[in-house]
Amino acid sequence: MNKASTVLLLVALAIVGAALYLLSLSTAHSETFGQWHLWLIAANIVVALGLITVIALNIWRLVHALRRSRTGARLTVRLVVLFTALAMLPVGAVFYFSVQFINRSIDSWFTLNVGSALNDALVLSREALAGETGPYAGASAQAARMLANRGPEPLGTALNRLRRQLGADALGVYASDGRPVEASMAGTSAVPLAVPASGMAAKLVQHGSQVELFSHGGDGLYVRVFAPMRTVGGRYRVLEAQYKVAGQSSVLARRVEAAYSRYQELQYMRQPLKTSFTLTLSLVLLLSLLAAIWAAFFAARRVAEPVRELARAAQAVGHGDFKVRVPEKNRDEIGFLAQAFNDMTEHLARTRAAADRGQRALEAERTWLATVLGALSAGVVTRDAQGNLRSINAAATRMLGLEPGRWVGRSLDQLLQAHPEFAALLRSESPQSGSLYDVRVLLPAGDRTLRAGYTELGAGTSTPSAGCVWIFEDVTEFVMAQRKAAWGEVARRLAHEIKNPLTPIQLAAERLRRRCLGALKGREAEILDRGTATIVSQVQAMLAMVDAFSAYAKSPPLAFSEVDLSALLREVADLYRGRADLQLEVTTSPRLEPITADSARLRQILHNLIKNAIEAQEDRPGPIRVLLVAGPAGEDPQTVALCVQDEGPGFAPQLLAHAFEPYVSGKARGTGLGLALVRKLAEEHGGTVSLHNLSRGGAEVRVTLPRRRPSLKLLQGGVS
Amino acid sequence: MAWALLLFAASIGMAPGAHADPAFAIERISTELEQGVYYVNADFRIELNQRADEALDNGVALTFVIQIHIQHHRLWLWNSVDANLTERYRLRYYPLTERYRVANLNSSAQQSYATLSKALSAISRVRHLPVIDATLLDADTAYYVAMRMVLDTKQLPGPLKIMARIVPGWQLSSNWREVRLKP
Repeated sequence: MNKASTVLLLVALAIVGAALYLLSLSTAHSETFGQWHLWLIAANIVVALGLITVIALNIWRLVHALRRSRTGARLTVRLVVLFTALAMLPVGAVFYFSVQFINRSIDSWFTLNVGSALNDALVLSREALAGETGPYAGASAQAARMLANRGPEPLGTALNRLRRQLGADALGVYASDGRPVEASMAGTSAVPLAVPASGMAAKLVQHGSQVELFSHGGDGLYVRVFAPMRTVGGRYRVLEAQYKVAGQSSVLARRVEAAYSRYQELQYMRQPLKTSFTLTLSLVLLLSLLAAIWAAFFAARRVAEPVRELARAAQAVGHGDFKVRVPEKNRDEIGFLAQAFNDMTEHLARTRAAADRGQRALEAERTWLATVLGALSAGVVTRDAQGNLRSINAAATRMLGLEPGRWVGRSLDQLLQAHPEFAALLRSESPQSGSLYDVRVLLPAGDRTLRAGYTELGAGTSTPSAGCVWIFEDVTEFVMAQRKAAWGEVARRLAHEIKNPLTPIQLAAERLRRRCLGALKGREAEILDRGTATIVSQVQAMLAMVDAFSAYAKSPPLAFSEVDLSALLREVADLYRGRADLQLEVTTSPRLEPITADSARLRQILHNLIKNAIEAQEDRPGPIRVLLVAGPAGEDPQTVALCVQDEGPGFAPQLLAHAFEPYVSGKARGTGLGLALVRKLAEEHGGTVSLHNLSRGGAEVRVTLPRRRPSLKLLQGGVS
Repeated sequence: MAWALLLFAASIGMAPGAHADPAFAIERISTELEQGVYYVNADFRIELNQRADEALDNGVALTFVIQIHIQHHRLWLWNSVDANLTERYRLRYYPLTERYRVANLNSSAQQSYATLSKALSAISRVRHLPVIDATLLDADTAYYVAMRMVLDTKQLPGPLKIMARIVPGWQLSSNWREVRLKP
């Protein structure tokens, strides 16, 4: 409810009040306001219709609100009904008693006594006046006779004389057909004479004079006498004489007549009067009621509005909207309630905002932690106090070959049951929290060495353990590089130390043979010959071995160039073509671009691998397959894979983990340097070597090389 | 409330003349030109119904209005009223003298009559009533004088006036009748 509608309401009420007041005035003073009465009633009815329209509109809106069960609608209905009932009862009672009172008081005016008394008074007046009028008739008849027998005197003169003698107001003589003959008036203001009807003269002759009493204007009573007049010529004429009735009785009689008339009129209008009063009252009642109902709507809305606002706001708060505010319009209790509500929501909003900020900070922290953990190359596994795994980062998942997300939330025991090989890694009974330990674990990538750390969370305080963290890193390469470096050193020294005495040994044996073979004979000569031959051949074998060692230990600098790998492969394969016991199948990828590599080292790799395959195959007839795949499936498309497959017995399981270490060999004859060398060469190119046993039997060695020259850093790592 | 609405409808719908009661009728109209002034003579027939009679007997004054229009006809349009005048008579019964008095409200001339019929016949006879100066009229146009008689309920006393609006039988009037205005 705004100000405009309040003003409208007040104006409407003022109009209604004014209209009703005027109506009451017009009912009371019917002469003054008589002409306005109908218009006032019409105006009031128009106002009533307007009010009815407004109320109907309000009711319709309320019903609509009720149907949609809008907040506050029921309260409005109750208030409207209450207000209306409160207004209806007193107004109705006043109306009923007013109507009764008006009807009774109007009826009481017309008691039988007053009516008959007035009637009697009137009759009495009439009798009194009749007594007074008698002499006038006689005098007039006398005057008529005198006129008829006046002699030669002119009629006009005689009339004037007679009028003065009689004290009459006017005298007139009319012919029998009613035509005026002569008249005499007392003055210009005298009451005009009445024209007698034709044929009246004859009637007067028969019945005598006719006396009429009449009133004229506001003041006087008059007597008019028609007397027959027979002229000398025998014609009949009519003498009309008019007298003003003088004296107190005439005045009194007029008063009695006025009162009687008024009373008669009122009595006649009794019913219309009652109807008029009742109508006015009904209009007053109707308008008051309608105004009351409208005011009820107005007031109910005013009361219900803040309550509805509050309810709506409370609902909004219930749905989590803390921004909602209630207008604090009034200074009453409802206004205070609104203010309290606003304070509450504001407080709630502040609390909620703080909680949200905390939540967001926590969220950010967690995300940051997860990102850090994910980006770590080290594996991180955490366990909570209940023995459940809380997190396994990406590196750990990859390293341990676990399905991502499968184990988080499950217990550590379950994981260890499924993967007993991790028991050594994820052990909890570390003697010293925070200390590092190396474990060898059989991972999907092979037998790997992991360096792990174990930290008890919340340890060292009186509180019980809040869980623990394992951090581990694959140090296999590092350990192997260390070992390799050590081996390289050993090999270099061995080569140096062994090579030095070997040459004198060979020279001494050859000299012994040259000098002594001729001097000896027979059996001794034969022994010497065989002995020195054995020495020389064994020394040469040893020299070859030493050369191999030194080749492993030091290698010439890399010479990178564009190499057509297919051509190189075919070239190397051609060297083995001549052998009858060997079958070599070469498959190259048709769309193989040249790669950047050291062709001499690639040759060495190929020779080593093919030789290995031949040795593995021994005397089995199966073919050796050499495959060249550009951008092999599941790997970097910028790599080339070189696979050599044999049909030998395959790698023994215990050999798979150590195959790349020097002096590890599955063959009776073999330096054990073959695969180690291949791996070293491949790593110099930034490539990798992997071993598999094929499902159909036999083994595969796969060398993966990048197409482009690797970065210097990786190269140095490979060379180390 | 319903009857209030009904009342309202009645007060709007029952304007004078809306229900022409054949209580009044025009029997004759004639015109004459005398010394440049048109005069009209007319005879009405007045038959008061019981309701009016009763009111008269109870001392209520009745006002009769004779409406006179000087008009000319127009093609496709309603008549143009060039002049109009009204002649008003008040009829009242005086119980003391037991006479009916007719007062011309325009001229304030009055006359009393012994009987109602005489009083009514005095009202119903219009004699030598000047209506318009001939110089005011266009010589080429055909003028008509139209007359009718109406009982003026607005002059009734207050409460009766309302009843006259609501109750049928109070709307007494004659139909319009016109004659050519000629010498």
